[in-house]
Amino acid sequence: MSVGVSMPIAEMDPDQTQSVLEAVRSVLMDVIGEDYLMDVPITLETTFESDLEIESVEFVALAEGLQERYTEVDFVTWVADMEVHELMNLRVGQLVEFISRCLG
Amino acid sequence: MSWVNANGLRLHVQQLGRGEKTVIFLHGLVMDNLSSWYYTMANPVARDARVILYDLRGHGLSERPREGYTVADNVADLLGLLDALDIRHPVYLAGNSYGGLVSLAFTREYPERVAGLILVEAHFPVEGWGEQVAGTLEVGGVWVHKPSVLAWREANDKRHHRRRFAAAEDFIMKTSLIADLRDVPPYGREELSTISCPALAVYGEHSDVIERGHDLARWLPSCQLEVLSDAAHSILMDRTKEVRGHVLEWLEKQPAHGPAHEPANGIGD
Repeated sequence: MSVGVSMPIAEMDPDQTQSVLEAVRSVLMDVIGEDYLMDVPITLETTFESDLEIESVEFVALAEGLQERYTEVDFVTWVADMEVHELMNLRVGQLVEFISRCLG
Repeated sequence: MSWVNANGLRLHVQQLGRGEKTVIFLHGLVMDNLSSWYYTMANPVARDARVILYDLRGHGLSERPREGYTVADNVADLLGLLDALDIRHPVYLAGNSYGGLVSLAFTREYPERVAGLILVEAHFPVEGWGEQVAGTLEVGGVWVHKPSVLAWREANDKRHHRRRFAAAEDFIMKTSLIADLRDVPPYGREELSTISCPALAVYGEHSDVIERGHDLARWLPSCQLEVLSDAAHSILMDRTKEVRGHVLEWLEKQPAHGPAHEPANGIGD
């Protein structure tokens, strides 16, 4: 499974993790609206589909927003290596970890 | 989010990757949107090609006007999109289900703009097709209010389900979609035989439209048909790896802008 976390979240730079998590939260606000997300906590364990209840087309827009913010991150290869069920069960922490790893 | 104004509408468009080939993905009808291609095929293709996905009018995040859902409207949207993005070279069209029907219709109308076709479970309007699809959607409009379905919706009361159902109901009940589909003129062998670009058709053995796959293989001058055993209509989601394998293998063998459009000096535009 290519989305497996290669570096445990506990070992990641906490400042960078927090910074990327904030970026994910910010782009999500742009994509699905502040009103809805005000009441939903977003942590590294939060899943996009089951917990946040976002539509798949909204996840695509989220990925686009993050690609614009992090131009050095290769989202195409990352998504290309995933199967549909992996994408549908993705946790915020997996996305944050992937971006953080690319940022070095 | 990215929108492109095309044919007077605001369309939700996603662009990925780069390469000599340009591949445009067209999704299926009503409950579908660009995410089905994004989750399955667009990113692997985007490793070596420029990829464009868009939500057809009425679908996903694109605008949903009250009227204008003929195949000709969809064809005009695609032309408007290519022009808005200033894509002048022939492109590969990848259509799933109804998206395949739109891809075929566009190719009949503008063959010079198409390098090749990837048709996954593609429909095309044989005699009676419009009436059948319109009838199915009418039943669907009623179906969402059946007690058993309402009970499922209550038990699965999640935001994304609510939004999907609400959008589908609005689309089916409050736009001209059903009437427009009912009026789609049928065509067959004579018209398909004029499509000269190379094509790949992938179908499930037990699909309700498997005969369309055999028709395409017989009537398109250059069509490779792949039939997945023990599979039905939803092969893009259910048999992703096999469909992806056929598409990537076929696409790799194709010239950047199609056989009829390769410049003699080998320099592409």
